[in-house]
Amino acid sequence: MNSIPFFNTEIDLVSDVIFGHVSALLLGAAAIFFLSYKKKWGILWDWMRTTDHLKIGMMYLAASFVFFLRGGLDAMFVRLQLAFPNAEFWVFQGEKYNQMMTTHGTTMIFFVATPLLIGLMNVAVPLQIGARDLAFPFLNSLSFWLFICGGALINISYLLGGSPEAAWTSYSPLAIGGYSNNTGNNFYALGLQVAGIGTIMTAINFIVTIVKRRAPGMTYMRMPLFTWGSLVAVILILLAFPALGAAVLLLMFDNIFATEFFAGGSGNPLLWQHLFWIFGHPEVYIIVLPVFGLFSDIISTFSKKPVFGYLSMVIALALITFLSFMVWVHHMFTVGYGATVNAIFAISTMLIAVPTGIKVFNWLFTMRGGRIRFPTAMLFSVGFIPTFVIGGVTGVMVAMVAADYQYHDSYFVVGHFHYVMVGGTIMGAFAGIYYWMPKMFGFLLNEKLGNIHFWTFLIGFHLTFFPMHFMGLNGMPRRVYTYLPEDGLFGLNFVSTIGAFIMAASVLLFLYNIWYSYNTQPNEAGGDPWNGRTLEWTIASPAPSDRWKRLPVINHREPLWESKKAGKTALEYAEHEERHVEEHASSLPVIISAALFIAAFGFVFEVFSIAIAGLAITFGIMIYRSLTFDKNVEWSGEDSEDGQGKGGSIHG
Amino acid sequence: MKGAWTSTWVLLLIILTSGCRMDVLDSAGGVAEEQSHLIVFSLAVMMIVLVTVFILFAKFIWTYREHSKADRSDHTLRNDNKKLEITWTILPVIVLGVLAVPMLMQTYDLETKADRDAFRVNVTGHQYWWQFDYPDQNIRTSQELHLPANEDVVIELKSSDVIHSFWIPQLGGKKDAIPGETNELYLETGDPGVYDGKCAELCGAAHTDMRFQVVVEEEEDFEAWSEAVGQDITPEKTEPEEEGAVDEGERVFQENCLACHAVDGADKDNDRGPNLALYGEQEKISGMMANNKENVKAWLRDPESFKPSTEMPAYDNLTEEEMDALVDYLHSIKGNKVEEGRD
Repeated sequence: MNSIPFFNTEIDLVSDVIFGHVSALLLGAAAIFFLSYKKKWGILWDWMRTTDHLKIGMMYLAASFVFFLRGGLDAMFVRLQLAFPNAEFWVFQGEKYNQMMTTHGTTMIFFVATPLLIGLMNVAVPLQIGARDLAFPFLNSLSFWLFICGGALINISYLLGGSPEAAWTSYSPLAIGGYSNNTGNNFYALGLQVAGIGTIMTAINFIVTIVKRRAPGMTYMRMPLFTWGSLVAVILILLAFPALGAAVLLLMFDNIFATEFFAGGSGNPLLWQHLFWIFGHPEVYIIVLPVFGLFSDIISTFSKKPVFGYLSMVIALALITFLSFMVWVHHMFTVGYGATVNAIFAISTMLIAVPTGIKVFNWLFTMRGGRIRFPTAMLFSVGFIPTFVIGGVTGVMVAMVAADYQYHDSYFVVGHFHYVMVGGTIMGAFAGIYYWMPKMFGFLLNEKLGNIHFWTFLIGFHLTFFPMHFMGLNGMPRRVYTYLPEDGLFGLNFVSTIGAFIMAASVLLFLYNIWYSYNTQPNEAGGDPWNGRTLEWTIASPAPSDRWKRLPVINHREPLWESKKAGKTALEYAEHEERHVEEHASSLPVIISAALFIAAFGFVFEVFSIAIAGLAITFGIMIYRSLTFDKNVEWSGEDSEDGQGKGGSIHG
Repeated sequence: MKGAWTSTWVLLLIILTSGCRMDVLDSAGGVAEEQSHLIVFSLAVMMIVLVTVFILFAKFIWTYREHSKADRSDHTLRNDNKKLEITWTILPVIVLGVLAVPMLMQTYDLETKADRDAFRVNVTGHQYWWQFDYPDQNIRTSQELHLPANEDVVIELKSSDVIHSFWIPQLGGKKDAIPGETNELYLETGDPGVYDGKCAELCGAAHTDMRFQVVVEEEEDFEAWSEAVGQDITPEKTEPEEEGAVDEGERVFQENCLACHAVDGADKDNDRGPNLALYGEQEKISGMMANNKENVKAWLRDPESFKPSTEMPAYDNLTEEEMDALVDYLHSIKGNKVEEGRD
């Protein structure tokens, strides 16, 4: 086999790797050509340095969508390999299949689901609470570039010595000690570490923003539910992601410095599972709670009714947040803990169904008595309800521990969590993009294409994932690259693959819709295209860069709707402009992230001079930034000369 | 909208019910049967929830679509209703309680039974094969697990490398084999039959192929089998005899295979590879494909194509004659050969 030596590993010159390199080069060349031909380098540089929440939000959405296409391509390879019994599609058997399936899971969770929602939060939360920007705009930019850097690490691994192949859960000892491709495991540990640091910063940023930067009069009980969902999700991030950071740090030590934290015998393989799932289960709620809030807002808007049971919606969010830290062992039901441990975690898991059920009924009763319109954003929200309820009931079923001994690690579970995550997070992201598109670009997406997009996605989705429950009940374990003709799994798998193709077509149609709408839709969606109820619809579309010159005064949970009812044309605004800190665009976040990328690269290939150089640059810039912070910020607002002087403490 | 929903579901049901097999529900032993009851029971209860939600969903969406003439005066201004909210908080708790009781009973039941005096097998997971030790019979086999019918069985699980998970869907749920730990899994066998066993936890490149077969047989058949397995017929680990002195196949085996494989269940030192006791009687190779001459030869020439990253090297250096002789020898390892050997 031909291969090129590359640091401590080798790049095999086989068809799939060559294909990867060639397509990466072609895409790169095409991007450079486009940017040069259209003379866009300056604009790109402006965007890279921006600290504006709306622009960062749009970049989050765009980048996660690129990763979505990558994760989706992996999924298509997986489905093609599984379409027929004993199939041999291209190279995707054995190790290569494991690499695809691992990259699919890792990408979709960390670089699609999470950042898609962070993107929507960036776009909408400041607009919903009347904040000029996030509390720490520089930090926001840094979070974004760290996420890009982590995603890049995971994505280039396939080209530089092999992707991780121990699944997105990366169980040890498989992920350590040479039981699987070490380069890939290092990419996994470093990629998640870097992106995870950025995510924790995002969480701090949003917590401070939501707690401190709400418009005057917007009490907690007047916050839109999307903001509520975001708040509880970022609190979960703050509590859960450090566990992941610790876990992947130890994993990195096991692999690079030959410690044995997670080794069988001398170490404890179950320690990894605990650390991973203490993060991993809350992660599921991190990517679904903002979506719950989003659906509440959308369903209320298009039913022309306030959301039913606002208070119980908030309490349910809080309860789910609380319970989500008490259920992680249900991922470990078969590791051999006793009946009592399993029973306790089974009960706590089943309890989550109660607040979730409250939310479902509240959504249904929000629609009751309304005047329901069905634009695409609402179609996705409405399509979400039965989909998510199916995922919810299978969730209760897998929580039932004695029965779970059968479901565990089978395709039943694969079906269950795709119902929850695709049916929740991905459909929610689509709904959010259709809903807030005008706030980002000033135009609405084409509704006809949107309708087709929704229906093909929904049908493709159910065709793909519904049969998986039956595969599991017929004894198909997870993460297998094939099955035997006599296993009786062919029909189910074939249907699933057809569904996957329909979903892929649907996603491409969505991309086409963006391009088509960009070219044809009038740029005059107006500030309030949906007859909205909450604060973000009171400002122009696209949201102007000097949004909230004067802060709105909030007297009601649905300020816009109240003023419409009262026949007023505008909200009540504060008498004078408030002072606030404005941070200028900065190239430091990009440079810090690039330095951390270099450091991570050094660790992955165990070239410590590179790693130390990268870390040195990172810390050097942090020190530089701390010493020159004042130069990058500016007070703005009418009464900026009140004695505190420029560059004083950040206004709270 | 409703039409599209209905047609999707009907289409799905047609496809799914055609020739559908469900091993987990087609139980062949007491534990699997109880678990399948729990599955069916929970599914039935959950269907009530599902149907309730779907009916309300369809009704509200249809009744309150934008231009319908439905009377909204009752509801329009109401955005909370204590009675309703209490109802859908209390009812789910009751439903979950109904589910929790049989679940708890069964979970504890499995635990207490595992402590009982039962037929024991010690199972060790290796990348990518299973080793079975019978402490009472003092024998070792691999890849084909024989169990006496209508018996309580306790499987003791260990792993020599990474985490595996031992799963026989028709006999009951799974449990992990974790390096450095010992787990016990309680199962009950039913009537005689042959069942598929699988590894359920990702364990590497050939996780998919880490399958085994389970043969449940009558007590006397099991005893005859275990006695046959226990007869010492593995060739000595000396220099291979000269050509012609012994059976050609045995010579090839001695030369190439003996370093890792034993051919009887009494030999317990030789555990780098699966023990090949009664290989000639096994229905399948590695629980995956028919144990015939063609398949065995293909396997020997290129094991990687069946089990990626397997430790077994490829034997493409053997001549066609040597290969034939070797496979004949392997297939001759049967109970009746053992009988002959005793004379």
